[in-house]
Amino acid sequence: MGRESAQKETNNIIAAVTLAHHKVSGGNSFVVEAQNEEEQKQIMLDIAKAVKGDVTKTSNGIFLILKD
Amino acid sequence: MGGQESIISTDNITLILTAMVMGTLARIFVLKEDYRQYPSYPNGYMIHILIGFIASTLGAVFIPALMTSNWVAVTFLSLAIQQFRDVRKTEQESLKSLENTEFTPRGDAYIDGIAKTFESRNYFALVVSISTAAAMQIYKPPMLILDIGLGVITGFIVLFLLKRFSKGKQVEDIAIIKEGQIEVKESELFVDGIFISNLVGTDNAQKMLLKEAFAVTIEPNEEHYRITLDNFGQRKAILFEATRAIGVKRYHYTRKDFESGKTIIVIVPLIRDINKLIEAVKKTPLLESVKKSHALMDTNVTSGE
Repeated sequence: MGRESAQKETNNIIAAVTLAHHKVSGGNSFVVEAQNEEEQKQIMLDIAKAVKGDVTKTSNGIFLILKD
Repeated sequence: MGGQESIISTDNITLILTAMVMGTLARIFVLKEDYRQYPSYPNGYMIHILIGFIASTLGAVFIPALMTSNWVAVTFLSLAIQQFRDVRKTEQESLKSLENTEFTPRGDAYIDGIAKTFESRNYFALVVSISTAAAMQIYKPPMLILDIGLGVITGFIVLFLLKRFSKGKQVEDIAIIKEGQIEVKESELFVDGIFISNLVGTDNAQKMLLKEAFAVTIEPNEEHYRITLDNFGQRKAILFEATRAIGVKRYHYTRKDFESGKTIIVIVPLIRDINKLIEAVKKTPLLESVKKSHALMDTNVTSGE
């Protein structure tokens, strides 16, 4: 990623919205655990709108909110 | 300084005026060609025409000054060049200060290119007026009208040559630009099957991209043009021109595909007009700092080892 970092197009993870079965160890970002998938989606939207961030869903179902 | 006459002669005044007018005209002609980039507003025009006028005045008085053995005149030119370099700096500063207000930034490479263009266009005015004056001085036709005519023709020829010399290429000269097909799978965005981004996790984003986004693929005509198109500054310039032409509502992405050498742009525009977008991408100038001569890269032509 050497070139990319020189061009400053990196994203920071602002928050992660997880479910009960996800095991997330501590990090710099804010982690919210939702009760079910519906709530997870809603919380993701709330945070994403608040920080005007982009959202990606990992293949195991965690929502990450990113912002550059 | 120099001459004994306190009042300037008719010959000299015609020469100076013709050269001044030709130089200013030269600046105006190349300014018009520039409207797409900057400046497209009255104040921008005003500034650049006036600087062009001053440049041509310096050029115009150069020949009469030399004719009166006024060698100090040469130093005026170096002063002028200093001034024009300031023009470049000012231009650079003002464009850089605008960076945060544009849809997407121009990027340093593009700004450098634009600023250099502005500097060189002032030299157009200077060179055209010097050559106009020189032609009129060297070959002095008997009639005033012929004298002016000669100056005007020389001026236009020099302008034409300079314009040809400094003309840059555009993206369409080295690449084929086509519309791309957008697909969204889960939170990933694809154009023509090429991965672009996985930052489209929300339903809104997915809907918006599917319904409203435009994708453009830029495919280099030849392998070595990839070096130019893949350049970060060049891609920024293309994205800037694209977003400036049709606006951007939200997302914009650029992506390089290393397999096919394509560069891909995706925008959710304000004005949904794909032809405008393709035209804007096609007409994006190739940056001087990025361009390279293929011929020069073939080494050992004459200096073989």
